[in-house]
Amino acid sequence: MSLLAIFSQELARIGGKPHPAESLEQAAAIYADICQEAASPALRVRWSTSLLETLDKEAVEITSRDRDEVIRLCAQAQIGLTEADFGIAETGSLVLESGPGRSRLASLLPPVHVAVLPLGRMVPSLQAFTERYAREENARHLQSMACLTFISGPSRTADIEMTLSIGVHGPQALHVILLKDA
Amino acid sequence: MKITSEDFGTQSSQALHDMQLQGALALVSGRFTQQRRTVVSQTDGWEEIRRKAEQIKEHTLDHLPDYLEQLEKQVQANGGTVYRAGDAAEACRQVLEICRRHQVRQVVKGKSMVSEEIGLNHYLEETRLEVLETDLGEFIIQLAQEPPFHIIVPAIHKTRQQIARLFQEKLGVPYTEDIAELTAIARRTLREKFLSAGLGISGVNFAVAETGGIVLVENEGNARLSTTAPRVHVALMGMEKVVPRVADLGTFLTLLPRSATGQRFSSYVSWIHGPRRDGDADGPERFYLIILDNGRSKILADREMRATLRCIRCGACLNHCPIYRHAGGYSYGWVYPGPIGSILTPQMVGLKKASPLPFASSLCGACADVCPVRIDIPQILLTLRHRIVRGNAKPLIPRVAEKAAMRGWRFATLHRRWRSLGIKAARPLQAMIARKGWLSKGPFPLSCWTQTRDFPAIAPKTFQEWWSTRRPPR
Repeated sequence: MSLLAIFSQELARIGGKPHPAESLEQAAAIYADICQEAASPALRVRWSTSLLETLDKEAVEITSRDRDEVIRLCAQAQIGLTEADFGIAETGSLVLESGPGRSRLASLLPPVHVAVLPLGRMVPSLQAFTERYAREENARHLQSMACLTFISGPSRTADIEMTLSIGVHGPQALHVILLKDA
Repeated sequence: MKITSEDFGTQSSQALHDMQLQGALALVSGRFTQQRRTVVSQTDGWEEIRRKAEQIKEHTLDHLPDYLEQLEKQVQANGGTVYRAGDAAEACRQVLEICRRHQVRQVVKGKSMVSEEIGLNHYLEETRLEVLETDLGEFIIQLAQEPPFHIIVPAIHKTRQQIARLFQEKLGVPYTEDIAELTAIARRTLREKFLSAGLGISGVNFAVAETGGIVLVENEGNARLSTTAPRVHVALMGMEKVVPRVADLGTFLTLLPRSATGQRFSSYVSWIHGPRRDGDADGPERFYLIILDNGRSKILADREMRATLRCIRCGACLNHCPIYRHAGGYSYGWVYPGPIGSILTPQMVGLKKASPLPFASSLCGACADVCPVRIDIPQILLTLRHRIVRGNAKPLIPRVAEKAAMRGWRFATLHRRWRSLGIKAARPLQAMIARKGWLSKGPFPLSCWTQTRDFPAIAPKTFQEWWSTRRPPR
């Protein structure tokens, strides 16, 4: 089974929605459908990367600005759009690095999180991912970012009578657009 | 938190008669053990991963002061501040001091067993700070003013009806038994608090000496919110939580979710390296790490007990323990329940205050079989029992009686003729009290046993008597 297939299967199993896209145009079409479904017109926020800019010019870029403003925007947004730095096939997980233009709240406060994962960034397993940091310079690079976040499916809890509820504090829906490399 | 471990006997017998509680315990342990079994069977090299984790933890404990120093340096290099706390009171004072320095009035908290251990909520609330638990289960028990019932699912002893009434009463919302709706109410209530709180407190699942990173594992997103939205983040860790390298996390993050809930991975795992960096849009401006000792150095120095410090607080030993599954979390009388509580509590609060706990086990060994870091809990229980007995905690008469009985047993096993005579003499005596092959009410000192369980009656014939009447087969 390909890494893409394993990732998609795992993500679906934990309640996320995988969307394979052959091209950027197809990714844009998929994204438009997700927005339509998630109540449009709605406030959308996104990371500031060139890939995401081509996907959604109108979404508000979350960059370094007034703290309360960042929180207000992310809290009001219906959709948060981010670009994953890695995907872990074995667990259907996204890995998001923090940094300038890469808001942590954008993947957390909006009820719908859409992430684009270029397929070249897929690693087979968690072990393979952490092995990267056996190299000293990778560990130093890791340390230079405030937060590395692993996201596996939507927010969930089973704290009441062991019954699963989705979207307790974080997003209720997680869409991953799996973008084939150009 | 008041320690009531001495009353394990009465507390557990109350729990045994609480049918609702028994139902909840069956549900949580049934679900978690089954899910764990499935996912472990699908994980290649599980035993090898456990051995590796054991090895890493043992190595870390061998060099603990060095790794803690490295961790401290790296946290500082990341722009964070480190405090060492010798005991619970000191850790509480440090948190309060940080709150005052940053003029904080509202605090949001992710789940942290260490904060329960040091009684942080109670301490901060007395200074009129508002402290809010944000994990759904912790939020519920905070409203009910109760301690956690289970390490992973703290409010599992409550029914949806009880939670509905609690929310109605404390939050002023309409009564609803719908679990999705109850969850949504908690989301709305807490969302406002996350965004207005000045300080967030979290625990630490793992701290990485190499990078000064702390790792948080969760499913709800409340730990992410508590550590991203407020201006200040304070992380609390027991000093045994450090691991040497980032590469070690592959091992521990494979073990923890599988052992705790039977998930391959938890919804959210955060590796946090200090406060936000220049140019970051969000994240806290200040980061503090409090490293707590609170008796851990003493455990570290005790060769027979040291393995206790390998624990990663997954809760698997609770779910698999036949005693926990019936006695429940509160019977153990302090923060840490189940088999891990039975070995940790006596070491942290003293043997005297927790003497029943090492005996609250059938020594079946299930806890050791499932422990992701291979702690030999039954062996540690036996050592603690030995120390308690040697420390002479029992009243005189049972002690003398027990010794005499053991001497008698030794004599009987060594002298066959006397043993046969003894058995022959006992049969007519037991006829008065035996029912269907069992003695359920014996005279003293047998009553010490029969108070709590039946004793098997001596059979009408011993095996040897029966054998001697058999003819050899042709």
